[in-house]
Amino acid sequence: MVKPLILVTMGTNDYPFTRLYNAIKNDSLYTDNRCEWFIQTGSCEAPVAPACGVIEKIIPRADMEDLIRRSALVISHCGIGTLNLMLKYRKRVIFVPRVAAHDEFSDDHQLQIAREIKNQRMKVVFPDDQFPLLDYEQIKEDNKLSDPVDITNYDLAEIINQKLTG
Amino acid sequence: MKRKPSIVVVASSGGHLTQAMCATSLVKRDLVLVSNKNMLDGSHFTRVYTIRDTQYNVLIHAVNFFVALKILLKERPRAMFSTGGPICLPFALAAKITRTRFVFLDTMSRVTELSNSGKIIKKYGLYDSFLCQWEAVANDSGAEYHGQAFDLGDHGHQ
Repeated sequence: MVKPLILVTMGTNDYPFTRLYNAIKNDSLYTDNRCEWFIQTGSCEAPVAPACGVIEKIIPRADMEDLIRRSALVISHCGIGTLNLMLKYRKRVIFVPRVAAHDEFSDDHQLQIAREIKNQRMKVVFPDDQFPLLDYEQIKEDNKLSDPVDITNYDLAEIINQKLTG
Repeated sequence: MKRKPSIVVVASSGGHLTQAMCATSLVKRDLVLVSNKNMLDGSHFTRVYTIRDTQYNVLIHAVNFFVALKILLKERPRAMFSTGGPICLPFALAAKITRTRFVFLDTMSRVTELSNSGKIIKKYGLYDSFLCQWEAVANDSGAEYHGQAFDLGDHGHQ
């Protein structure tokens, strides 16, 4: 059986996200060969590689979609782009919003959107929360491919189309 | 056969671009993207221009303004569309000068107030249509509200 994939994505902005890197590095699954990791770090330094997996600064969007499709668990900053993909592929996600107090972004807008997430498979770790221990049995259970659903708002898209071309 | 004028889409990589792709999904014209990174290999955009990214660096914004003029004069688009981030500011000014119709959709990620880019575009009237994605923000700012670029609902999650 294919090892369950844990995907970590920190986005494409220029701010580091050491708090998230430290949280995953300190989990026992980071040094456990039963899981495969893919860690997209953006501008964050990640000197210690997982026992099994790779670290990349940035990858093309299509590659990211493929990784999400294959992943059993996604651990992510709380960017809109990632939220879109998680909804589209119906993944179990741990969101960690970037906050200005830790110099992880210029403002706290990720906290604003995090508070709007109402989904049983999406957990938000707010700044004062403890990062949860990763559950291998749950990750193993979620180790399956998923097909995307279309979540585009075509009513808005039609209004934009009229405004641009009408 | 003569091509229809394109639509220029200005959006930073990541969430801004995701929203722009959803919002322009029904546009049946050549879509020309201007972004700070080119991470795409799909067919949504006909051409991609890559520019330097900045939030606050005035010099880079100034350089991008001339790049924006060059792109808009070269493309002669039917209209320009943006979901932000800050790279859209010099393009909004260039659109005003070149009389290019500009439709701005403020990002979904700003839930309680307009984004900084949105505030500037609104304040200086650098738009023809200004929409935002949260009803309360629209009510406070005078923006149009027609929902969000994608559905935040629970799509078959267990």
